Amino acid sequence: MKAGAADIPLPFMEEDIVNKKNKKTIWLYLFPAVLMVVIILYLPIFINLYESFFSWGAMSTRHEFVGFENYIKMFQDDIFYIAMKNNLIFTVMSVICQIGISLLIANVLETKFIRRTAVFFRTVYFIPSLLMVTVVGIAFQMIYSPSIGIVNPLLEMLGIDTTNIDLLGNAGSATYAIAGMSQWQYIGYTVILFVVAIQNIPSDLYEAAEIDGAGAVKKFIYITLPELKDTIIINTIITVTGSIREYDEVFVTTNGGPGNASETLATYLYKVGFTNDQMGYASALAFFIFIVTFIIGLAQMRSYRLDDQQ
Amino acid sequence: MKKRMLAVILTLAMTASLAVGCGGGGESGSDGDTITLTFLDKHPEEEYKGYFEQAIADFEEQNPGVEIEYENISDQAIKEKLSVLAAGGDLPDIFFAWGGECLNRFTRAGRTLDLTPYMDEDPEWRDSFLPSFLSSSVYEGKNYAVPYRSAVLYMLYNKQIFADNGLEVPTTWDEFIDVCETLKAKDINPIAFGNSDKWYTMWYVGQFNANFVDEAVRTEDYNPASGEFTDPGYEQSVQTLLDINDNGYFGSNVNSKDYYQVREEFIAGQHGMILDATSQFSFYTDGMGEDGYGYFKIPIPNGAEGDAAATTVTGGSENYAVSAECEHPDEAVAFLKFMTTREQAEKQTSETGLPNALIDGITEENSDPVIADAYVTAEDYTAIAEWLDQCIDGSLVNTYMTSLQEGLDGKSAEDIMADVRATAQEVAEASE
Repeated sequence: MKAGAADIPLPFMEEDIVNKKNKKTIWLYLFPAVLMVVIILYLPIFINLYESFFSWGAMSTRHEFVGFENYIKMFQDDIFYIAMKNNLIFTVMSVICQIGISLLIANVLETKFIRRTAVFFRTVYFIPSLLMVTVVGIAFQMIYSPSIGIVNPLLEMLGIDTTNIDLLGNAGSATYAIAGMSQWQYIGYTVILFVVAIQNIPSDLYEAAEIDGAGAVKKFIYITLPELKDTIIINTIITVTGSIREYDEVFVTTNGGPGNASETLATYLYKVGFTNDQMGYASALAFFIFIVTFIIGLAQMRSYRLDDQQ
Repeated sequence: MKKRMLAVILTLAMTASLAVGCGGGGESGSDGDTITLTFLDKHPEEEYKGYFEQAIADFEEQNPGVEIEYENISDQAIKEKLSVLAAGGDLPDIFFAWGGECLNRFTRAGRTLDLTPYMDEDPEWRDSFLPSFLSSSVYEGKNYAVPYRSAVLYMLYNKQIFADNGLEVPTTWDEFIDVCETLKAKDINPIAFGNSDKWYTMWYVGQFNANFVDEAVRTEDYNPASGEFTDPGYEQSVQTLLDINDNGYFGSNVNSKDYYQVREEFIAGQHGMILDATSQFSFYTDGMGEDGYGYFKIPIPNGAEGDAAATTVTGGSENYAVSAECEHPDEAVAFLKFMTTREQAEKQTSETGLPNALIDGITEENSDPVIADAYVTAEDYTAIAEWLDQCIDGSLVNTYMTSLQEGLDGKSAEDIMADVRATAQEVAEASE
């Protein structure tokens, strides 16, 4: 798209040709889609915001206005902070592994020496991301188990005392263990995205760099990284928003336990709503998660626009 | 102009088709002459499923024109499913529910059908149930469900392990601790226990609460509106559980193992004892044979002074209730009656091993001798304490379970009960 064109909404681009009558027709055709988006997407967000100012439950007849009480409660709730901390752990680990490490892996897979076997490695890295979370979760429950798993015996072979190591059963290690599992599963996915992007970089750039005497590291820093800027930004946004919504992996492996040690915002939201039947408080938590993801979404749109204006 | 009209019509058609595509689905109700009832149950296990599907088929054959749409999900899943369904306003016509608060929360909100008129009409039906199990679904003097399955909690032991180590079945708490010590000294894990699902602690604590706290106090505390949990018995009860864990009788890494795993391990002979309910006995009979395992009453902890400490056991009924929104209540109640006729109930027990809840319903003929015997022993108990995780408010259960899980990891009984009291207060305030 040409510079400047992005500022004008698509239906009105050629304003001088499109007369008023046609404009109406355009709106008419857009109407069904807009209506569905409003009903399915925007309406629930506003209903959720509205309901977060009430104290209510699905199984109680009470529906009472409490103002900001649910939000005040949220910021005084210890578990809320535990959940935020855990989401942060997920975010940091995911960015390091699924952006940093997978970028390196993708780069190695695209070097000349490994080209022949690259297909094999790409497949090997990619397969875990095709598995269902439930399958991976149950498998890792067994892998991490101190009584039937393989992690503790492996650590013992390395000479580590494992009597107190119970990865999913100890409060201190549970979140890291789940996040680790998540990295194992999804690192291959971003590797593939990076590989595709690297393949799209014109090879003459590398050839020119080689003539100038650049080594592999310099080529990576001065050609690959700048050329992959867009992909890196998109992958980072996908990874970060995914970490904030983190739910299924925790649910399958520990369900937030032991205690509340591995609770994330999403698992806690579900528990508050459907186990504790505090729908008002759950709505407040949901709105908080929405605001956080919304801000990240804005940042996403921002970065696209910056790119367009170059 | 014609073109515009066409555009408008097309647009409307598009919108309409979208709306139609989104709506629809399996509406329950009558379709011509056929009445469809939806039924949510929790017996997807291979050994149970067949019986329930056959029972439904038999009912449909006896009642032409009534069709039952059966949804069968796991024990763990149904707890949340019921809450989710209630929130969505779309309860199945007939649904499974535990007794106590699990059902009362629906009843309070007016979502379950009052079965009292049907029972008044057919008093024989009402009188066929064991009163202690039927009473768990009574709310303010009215019946809101019928029990089809009953359970009483016992401690099971591996006969071989006990014989090999010269152990006798313990009858007092001190003897019980001696058994644990002996097994531990011989490197056999005394009690099978796994708590990654968090609910297993509730069986122990529920039983100990019944031992330590007077019934009147418990009833007051288990009611969401008046729960305080200030009786020192609650803390003693939690401490009793923590002591068992701290002394190593549960083995190690209890928070990453679950009940199903340790049950298999017990059947495989890796543990000396396991706490379980009569409703599960058939698993042990299948895995270990009738002579492979025995049961004994859970000994009463030292210092337990509740007025009915010796005569109360944890247990409960599993029930079927009808939604208040059900469009064909008569047919739905007819199905409940069918499932709890003596013939059907005895079939249930003999085919699946699930003990029924009828008076004289468990006999040597229809169940294995261990279960039959366990029900005779149960006659010593005069009171049933409902499952703790079913008879108190959901958020209180959550706090109890979460804190107990932390307790197994070092949190003190005092702190655990402080958490419980804080939530109890919140719940009480919310239900005012």
